[in-house]
Amino acid sequence: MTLDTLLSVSLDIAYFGIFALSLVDWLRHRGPVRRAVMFMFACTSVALAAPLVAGVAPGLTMVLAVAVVGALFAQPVVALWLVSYIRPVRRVLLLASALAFVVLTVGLIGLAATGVAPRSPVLIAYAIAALVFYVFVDGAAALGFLAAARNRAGTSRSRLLTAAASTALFALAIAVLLGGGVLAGPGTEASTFASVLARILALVAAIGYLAAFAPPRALRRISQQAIGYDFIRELNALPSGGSVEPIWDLLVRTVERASSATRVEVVGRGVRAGGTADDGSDGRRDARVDAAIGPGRGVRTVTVPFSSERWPDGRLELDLPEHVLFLEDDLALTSVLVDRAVRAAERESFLVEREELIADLQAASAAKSDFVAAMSHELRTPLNAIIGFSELLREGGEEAADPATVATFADHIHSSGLHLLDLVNDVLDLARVEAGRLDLKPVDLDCEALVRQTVASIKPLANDKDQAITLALEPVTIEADQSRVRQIVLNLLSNAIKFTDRGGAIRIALARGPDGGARFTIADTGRGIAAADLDRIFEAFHQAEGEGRTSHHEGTGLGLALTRQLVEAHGGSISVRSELGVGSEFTVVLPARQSTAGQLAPPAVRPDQPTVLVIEDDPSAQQLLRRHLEGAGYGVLATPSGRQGLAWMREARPDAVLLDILLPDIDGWEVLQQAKRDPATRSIPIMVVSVVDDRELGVALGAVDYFVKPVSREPLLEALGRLTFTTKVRTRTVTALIVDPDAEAPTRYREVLEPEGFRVLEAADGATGRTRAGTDQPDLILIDALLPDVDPFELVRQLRDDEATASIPIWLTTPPGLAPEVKARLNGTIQGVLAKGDDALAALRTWLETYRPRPVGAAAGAAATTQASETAEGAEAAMPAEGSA
Amino acid sequence: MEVQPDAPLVLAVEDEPRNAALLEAILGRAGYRLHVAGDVGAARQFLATERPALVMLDRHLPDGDGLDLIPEIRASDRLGDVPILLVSASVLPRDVQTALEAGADGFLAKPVRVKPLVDEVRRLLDAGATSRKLAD
Repeated sequence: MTLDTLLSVSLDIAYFGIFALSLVDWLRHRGPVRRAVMFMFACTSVALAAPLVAGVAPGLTMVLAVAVVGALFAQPVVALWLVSYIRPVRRVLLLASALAFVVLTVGLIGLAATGVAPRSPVLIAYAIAALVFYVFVDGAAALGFLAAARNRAGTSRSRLLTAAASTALFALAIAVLLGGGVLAGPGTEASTFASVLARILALVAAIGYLAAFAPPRALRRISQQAIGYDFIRELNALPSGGSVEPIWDLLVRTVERASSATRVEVVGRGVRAGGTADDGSDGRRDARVDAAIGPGRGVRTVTVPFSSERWPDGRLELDLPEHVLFLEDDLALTSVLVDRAVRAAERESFLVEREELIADLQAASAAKSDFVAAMSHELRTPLNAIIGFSELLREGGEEAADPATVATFADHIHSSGLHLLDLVNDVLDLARVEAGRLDLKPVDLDCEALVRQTVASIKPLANDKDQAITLALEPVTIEADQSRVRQIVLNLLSNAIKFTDRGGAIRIALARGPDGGARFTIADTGRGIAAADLDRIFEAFHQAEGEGRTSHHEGTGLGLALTRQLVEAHGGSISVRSELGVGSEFTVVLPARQSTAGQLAPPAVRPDQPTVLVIEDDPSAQQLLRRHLEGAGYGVLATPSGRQGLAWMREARPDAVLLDILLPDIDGWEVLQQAKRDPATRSIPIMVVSVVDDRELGVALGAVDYFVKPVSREPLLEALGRLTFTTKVRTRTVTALIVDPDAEAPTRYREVLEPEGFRVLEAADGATGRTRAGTDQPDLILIDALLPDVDPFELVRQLRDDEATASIPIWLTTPPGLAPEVKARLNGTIQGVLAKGDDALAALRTWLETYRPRPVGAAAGAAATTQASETAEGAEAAMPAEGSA
Repeated sequence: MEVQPDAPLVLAVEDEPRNAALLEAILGRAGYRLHVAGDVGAARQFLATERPALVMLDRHLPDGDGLDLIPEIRASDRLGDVPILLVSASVLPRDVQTALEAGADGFLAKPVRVKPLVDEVRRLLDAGATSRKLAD
């Protein structure tokens, strides 16, 4: 065997290898582009294989020769066919190339059958025709790739350019082969040289094709990582603080640059506060992408959802061009970029939120300081008279000897003392209402009579200032607390008198309000309130400097704040219209019924029973829920009022709440929001039971479950039973196992865990811990990282490997500073790592509040996560969603 | 002590009647004449024609902040050197600072005690007399 034969054979083997790769690639990822690529390699492989076969079976020479050349002729046709997947190719061109292929092949068979001599004119003419065919068709294909590359960017562009170059190279290889074989004549030195050169050229072209159309995983990963790395660098270079918008803009720009998309848009970038993503969003992601990968032409819109609780509706939409090539690669890359952008945006919006929180806290702290300052001012004013006059009396002197002066001084002291008492009472009332502890005693109240009495009692003040009070009263009876309603009317009325000049007019109207309630209107012709202050006059001690709707000289500065609180405690509303120099008009609307009387004490419940609070205004629905719950052994509190429900949540601390949405006073959404805002009620699980079908909103606002009426008994009780983890609503004891050599540790964790209803088990070393975990089946395991007998990582692995303990949530506690390292090692196998310290307990508490074992949909969620991270090739391993364990 | 007709005249700007009465009792006993203005407007009116020996200002008045009177008094040739004493229930350090920065000569916190009030009034009146003498 000569050197050139050896070279040829090894080149052929390399070529077959490439063909095999393309075949495997096509088999693994079926698609028209890969199929065409595979066909192209098949053609040339047949051509290459023929001489080898000929060596083994010489009798077949002629047939083989036809097969070789025929297969070679097919190559340009296949290349053009490939182009047609990428950009439109004229039909006539495709047909002409196919026709030329047939003609040339048939001609070849004819020539072979008649047995023309080498270098005969006929053969040379044929060879020239074949050469023209090659140059023309492969040239057209190369130009097609080139044109396609011009319309694309990033990786697609370089891949198409490679394809164009490879096609041209292939045409050159064939030209060299034909030129050498036919023109120089077989067996000549020139022919052999041409044959080897053609093989080398073909091999280079083949590698180019492979890189363009079926790049090996490693190559794709390198390219993606390079883009991903640049992206992260650019993300980090973005200015921090304020907004996530620059992140989305950068994402769009990067995806536009790196993919073939003609339109890239971030949809659903609005944040839903406190949002929790619906299960199954990941499932949707895959479905959409799969649909897009299928064959078909025309512009396709592909959606890559954000897998983020913060943007439950967030997604990136890409319009990919007709004849999209490399769709999977574009999508894989896009997924990586989207994931990185979403993580960055989450971090950014967390920072923004933290800034806002700090600002809120600072504002609250400033408001508190202002309140204290105002309070100090208000207290000192009457104290000034009390102390000053009493001091004058104590010092004796001539005033003390004059009974009239003494009496005047005593009057001043007394009236200042009364004023002080008013102030203290108002402050207490305000504090009581704000804490939800005001006792309303609702009675059937004749509002007309009440207004008349109140006006009569205050008339002398108005008379002193020559003010006329006109009444326009309708008879209205509502259910309300008499003394509190009088306080409301009196406050507004005395303000009206106080802030209206001598000779002004005051008008009081009482009318039947909406739903049979009462509407009080108290208007004056006083000095009015500046528009800028209208929002703030209901705040305690609000005093625009130097102006005084709530000025201190008669009132306490708390009147309007208290009035509003009293109105709202009745489930009513207060509003004000005012114009400077013209007058003010306050309107109070009170509801007809005090079923809303928030502050009834909750009925007693048996302490040994788990308690469910039912907030439902429809009596029959309430009755039904009560029957279901009591039948299952729950104690039931029921109220038709949202406000009442909130008050009872604070006072009775039920273990769970069933909440209707359509309520007479404040709607269920409001109840849900308020309950989740209030630290005292935040951790009480709330399930919505309503005809309103908006599960997404309910879950977003913090509901643990959502039922659309009519609701049947079984699912409801099952859902309640599922809450065993964090509340006392349970049919069994819930336990936490503390594996910690520190004797003090269990005591510390008890502080957090026992209020959540856990029984705390202890183990001082790993071996005991493992045994107890198996036998006691705790609901939660806390493992210290420094165990005397066993590596904690090993312990975690053992617990995970044992079927009995595999699904128990585990937290690892570490010395401060070790947490990130440990977390990285245990990524995904445990719920979290706690660096020891006060924050650790807080983190655990937060987790307990949000963790819900979710038997329904948990498995699906986990599967979706896995798929998603496969789609995102090269992406960092996604942190499994907590709670999917 | 009988208040003499030629006793120094003090203007007190105070809207709370009981506190005005208290100032009247304390300063009357100390031998001063007192004129009470219930708001900024009334004080302005009084100052347009009269020249008190001392002005006592409260801050939260029905028609404005007593502090607003200070620059007006200081800008006037006729009244410019009248001592000004703030008597206020706003006693946070920042309030005191605001008052003194506005140009008040003294600050007393409510509730006021009899002796410190009288001492302060006396001090300011003496200082006022001295500075007038020096000016003459």
